[in-house]
Amino acid sequence: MGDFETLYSQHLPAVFRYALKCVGRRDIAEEIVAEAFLALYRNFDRIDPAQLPGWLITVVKNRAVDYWRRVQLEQRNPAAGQWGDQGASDSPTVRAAAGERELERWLIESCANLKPVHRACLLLRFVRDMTREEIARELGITENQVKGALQFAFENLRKALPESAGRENK
Amino acid sequence: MTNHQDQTEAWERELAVRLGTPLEQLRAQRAHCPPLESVRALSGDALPEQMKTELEQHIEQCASCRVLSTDLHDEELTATSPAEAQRIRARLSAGMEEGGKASSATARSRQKVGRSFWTLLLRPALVVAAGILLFVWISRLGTRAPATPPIAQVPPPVATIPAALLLEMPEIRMSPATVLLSRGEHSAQQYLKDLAPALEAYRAADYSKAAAQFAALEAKHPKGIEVFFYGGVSRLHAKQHAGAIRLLVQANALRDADFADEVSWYLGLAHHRAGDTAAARGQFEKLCAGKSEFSSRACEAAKAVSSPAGSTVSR
Repeated sequence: MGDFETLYSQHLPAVFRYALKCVGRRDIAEEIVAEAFLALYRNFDRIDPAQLPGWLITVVKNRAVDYWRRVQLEQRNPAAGQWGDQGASDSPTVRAAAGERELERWLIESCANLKPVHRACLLLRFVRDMTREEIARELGITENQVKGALQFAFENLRKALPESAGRENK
Repeated sequence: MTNHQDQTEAWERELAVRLGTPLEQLRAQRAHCPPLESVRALSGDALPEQMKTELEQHIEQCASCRVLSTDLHDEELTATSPAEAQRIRARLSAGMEEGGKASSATARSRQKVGRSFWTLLLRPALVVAAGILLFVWISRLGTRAPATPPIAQVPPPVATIPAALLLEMPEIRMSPATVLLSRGEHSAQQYLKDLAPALEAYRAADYSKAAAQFAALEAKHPKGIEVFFYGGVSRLHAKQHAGAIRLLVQANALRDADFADEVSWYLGLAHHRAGDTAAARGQFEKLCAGKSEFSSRACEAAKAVSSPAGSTVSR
């Protein structure tokens, strides 16, 4: 049987990735992953290493299910209709959004050739209006990396933007 | 560095001007999008069905969220950063040092709720009833669904434990019937006072002591669901499997709708620990077929007990 430290180092990346996929928040993923490894530590002599990382994944999943259930209960999670585009497609909000939708489509098409990190930074900055600090925290990267990704994405957008675009705005 | 930053900001300002009003309107509209955590979790296995359906409906119409829901899972964006790895290690080390105590913030907050419960219980009768009602109300709102239950300190006696069959400590809560009675009837208040030491031992994970305390209450409170349920779970943790099954069967017979699924789940675990795989599978399959908070893990448990590893038990 491998020692705990070896198994921890071996499985941490995959377990964290799975936890993040389940709960969506890095801080909660950290907490759940620590709990899963603690459960492994406490039951270590009874767990067959061949069951890993499946055993850890199941513990994480159970914790994640509990997390979302708690979120739902505590926040009475946003009901249908509260999110921007939800509801009838002919609602005033959606009707008024035709111009923005075109812009959104253009933004996404223009950065189709970018790496996911560049595209995510651009959308979070331009569409979600998040600060660089918020983006860095959300993506688990440094602010400098965010700046670099944004510079690359902005340069790409400037090239894609027709020369005439925005002249009427001036 | 400064030039790099200035250029980025200059380009951003230029783009914002050239894209003009539509960009502002797009931002205003997308301010109502679901939180990023939900978008990211959409492809995971843990979102409640209703939330998942609502998100899918949104994403169908929202191109930005649709792209983000994919991009956020890129390998580069889901790696553990050095700071995160350090914090996980620190949490783990703290948990190891505590040796069995729950480590999470959620568990700590649950302990606070537990403490307030006992403090209120010792106050005069009127305060007792109000306090218990408040406690139960809070616990049903916020912690009715177990908030990351602490890991069992007494490991089940199996050679290898499939994760689906991991024994946890269910949250302390009271049946609504008990709460309603406690408002006025002296006997119900006495019931809560009688329960206090047993539940205190249970909360402290002193399962042998808890099992003995609950056993002393069986004859006095033959309809007390808490006596039989928490008594059964205490025995399960204390490896008294036959006793656990007896108490959980009695709890089941009380037909308390609020406890029914939880009783079935732990009865299944008790049968499994006792080596009765068929009975365990029966309980898990029943839960799996229903729609409760235990459904998905019961389906996994049913599969696990059917496998050679899951059915391997030592008495």
